[in-house]
This record gives sequence, C-alpha cells and structure tokens, in this order.
Amino acid sequence: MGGGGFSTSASDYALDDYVLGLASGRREPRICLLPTAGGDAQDQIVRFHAAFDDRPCVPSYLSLFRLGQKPISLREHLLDQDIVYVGGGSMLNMLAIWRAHDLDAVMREAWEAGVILCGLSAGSMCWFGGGITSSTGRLAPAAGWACWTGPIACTTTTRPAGGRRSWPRSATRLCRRDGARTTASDSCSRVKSSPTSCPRARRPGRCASPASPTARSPNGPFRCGGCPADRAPR
Amino acid sequence: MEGAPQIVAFGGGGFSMEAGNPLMDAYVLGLVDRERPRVCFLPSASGDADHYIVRFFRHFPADRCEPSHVSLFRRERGIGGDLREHLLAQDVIYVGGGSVISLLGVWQAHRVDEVLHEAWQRGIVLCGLSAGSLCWFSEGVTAFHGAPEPVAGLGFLPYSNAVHYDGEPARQGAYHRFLAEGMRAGYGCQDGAALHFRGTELARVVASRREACAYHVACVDGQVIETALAADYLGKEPAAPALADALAA
Repeated sequence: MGGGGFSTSASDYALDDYVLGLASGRREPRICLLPTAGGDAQDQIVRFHAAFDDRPCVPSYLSLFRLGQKPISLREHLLDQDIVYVGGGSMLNMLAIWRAHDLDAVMREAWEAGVILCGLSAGSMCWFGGGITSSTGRLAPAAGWACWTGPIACTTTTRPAGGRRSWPRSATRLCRRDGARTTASDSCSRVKSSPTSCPRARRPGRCASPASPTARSPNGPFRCGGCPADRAPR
Repeated sequence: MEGAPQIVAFGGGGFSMEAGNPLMDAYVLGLVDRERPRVCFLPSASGDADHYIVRFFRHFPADRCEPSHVSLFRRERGIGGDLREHLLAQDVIYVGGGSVISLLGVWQAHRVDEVLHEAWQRGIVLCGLSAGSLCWFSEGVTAFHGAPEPVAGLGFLPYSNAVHYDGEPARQGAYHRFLAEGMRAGYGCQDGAALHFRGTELARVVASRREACAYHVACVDGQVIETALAADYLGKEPAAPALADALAA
C-alpha cells in the first residue's frame, strides 16, 4: 500500500478488505500486525485490533520491544499466519531490528510458504530493493529488504516535491499514491545484480540479508540485490 | 568536556525504576562539573515509548539540567540538526531500558554506536539501566524476551554483565551456566546498585538502596565464583539508635 488501511484512514478499510479477501477460501484468516517500524507504538496496535477484531479473521500482533510480556516463538507464530501486516514508521529501524532478531529470514520463509505480506509506507517499501524514507530525519533513498529488487516510493501525494529522487537508471519505477496498492505482478522489470559480498553482515560468515546467497532459504540461493549499505549516511 | 571515559551501569534503578528515589540519577549528574549538566535520554530500547520520554523530562527538569532526548523512530521530529553533533555536546547520555537486541540493531542502523564510542572517549558520562546497562559490555544476559539468553554488546567494557541480579533468580542461574560455557568474567548487579567504571576499570559500586550490592562473577577451573562487592550507599545513613533516642527525648 502506498498508504491507507486501518492506520492511516479511520473510515477507509477498502485496502484492508482487499488483503483479507486474498486469504479467503482458507480457514478464517490469521492476520498478524508487525508494528516494529513505529517502535511498537500502542496506538497502532489498538487501531489494528479496533479494525480487525470484528472481522472474520484471527488478529494478533508481535511486539519485538515487549516480547517478554508474551514470550512466543516468532518463527512459529509468523509461519502460522495467513497475512502478515507491517505497519508504517521508520523503515531503517524496522529492518535493523528484524535483522537483530533474525526475523528477516523468517519473513522470507513465510513469504515463500505463501503467507501474504502486506503493509503501508515503511511496511510497503521494505519488500523492495530500496525506497525513499525519512528514517534519518530527511528524505533519502534507503535499502529495502530486497525481496523484489526494484525501488519504490510511497505516499507520493503527501511528500514534498523534493521527496522524489531520481532512481538508478536501470531500476523499476513504482510510485504510488495514498490509497493505491501494487501487487507483485506489477513489478515487471527487475534490477539484476550479482551476488557479491554483503556489507550488511553483522557476524562473520553470515549475511544478514535474506536475499543474500548465504541466507537460509528452503529454495536455495536468492539473488542479492547488491545489499546497499543499510546504515545511515554520516 | 574532556575527561576520563566513564560509564555508570545500573543493575536497575533511576527514575524509571525507583519512583521517589532520586539517588542514582543524582549521582550521575554529580559526576559532571557543570551547574546544569546537559543530559540526553536515549529511549531506543523501548521503541521510543512516549510515556518513558515524558517521565524522563519530569525527572530531569530544566532547573537542574539541560534535558533532551533523541528519538531514532522519529528523527524528522525532535532535535534539530546533526545527531552526532547533538550527542557529542552532552555531559551525560542516559540510556533507557527495554530490548537490548532491538536497541543495538537500531543504534547500528543510525551509526549511534560509533558516536557513543566517540562520546565515551571524550569523557561524556554514559549511563543507563537494564538494556541501557548491558549494552556497554562485551557480553551480557538478557531475559527481556523470555528465557535468559546471552547477548553481545558494544564491547566498551571487556566484561560480561547481568542486570536485575536479585529480582530475577533465573538470570543468576543462566549467567552461571553461560560463564561455565565460556562467557567472559564480569559483574552481576542488583537493582538499586550501579557499577561505575573509569576507563575500563571498576572504580566504585554505588547504591541507591541500603541493601543493594553487586558481584564479580567468574568461572575458575570449571567453578563459578561470586565475590560480593561492597557498595557505597548514596543516601544518608540513619543516626545511631542511641543518638536517635537522645534526639527524640
């Protein structure tokens, strides 16, 4: 989602309905909110439950900042979902925290297992090779999770004009307005890059990117999006 | 400011754990030779929880210090200007509790880890409780996510660390086990006690509660040995009974 859904529009649930509809035909869909990008802000969690508690689904949320209050296996819980809904906020922080908790590999596993991944703003850009984020206090390009190796810009109607940066020439351009969505099939051309050494690695011998050649993946190596440095510029 | 690197690592305490007991926070402010020390709160381990930030400002009022906070989740708001510049202009950097794993992840993403090292080297006092205490050490025990588990910190202090060393018995058992399995020697610090390091040497153990203390904990020849470290109580000692009686008479 470029923006929209329960957390940005109190009365417009069309995008949320669409996502729930994708999981129809399955059991009563299990939908889990990951509010990591917002620092697990309570208001986002409350609004999520207000929006989904009365719908035909089983809502839950995972707070990585308050796991001690509800110790569960992150992997088991996420793989048991039909939909993982990622909230907005700081994409830079969210991806860093996912990596710190080894959640990036789990998310990839969930995606490959057919769990529907959705989200808005940071929760939308994160699936792409990169995006425009204000995570560092000013609008700047940042690396995403690279499950699709193209960049994206969210909420183009609400960003100042300077927010639209020029993309790498070879990259797919996907810019969306608030309330619009894109599915994977719209991402028609992908950036190709070679799986080289990954500066994201936090530990020797381990690439922190799920899209890297060394990451755990049931389907074997996945092309690394080049792993642009995920640390904020100095 | 320039001075010896200092870290005050609370086992647990300060404004967020000891309502009505200002001793620990006052001790940290007292380390700074400035009438109104510049104190910056880093609530990253809590996800920059609003209520935590509000409590910080309530307990560090502007008539005692120059308080500020850095929210890494909302960098477009809050301090204007450069993050590094702001942190290096402080006298004290106070790190809140929460998830140490998330804390370190976020700091690394924003390069705060590098800035904190520079701040430490320059003599800016680094302090914090719980996650904000564990983070300074090479290794530690976190139980924030359920069962206690080992965690790697920033490594400014080449020891291990276990916080809340009295309040959560499971931590002590887990710490001993990790030490026996090869975790480096270090410190267990109770709630209400703090380890004050100058450079990488433990200079003093202080306590905001009379009964609180800390331990040096090491594994020697396969056996974990705890050595109690006397703590200096920061409050006033009660008058001797005879004197108290005389005063009451």
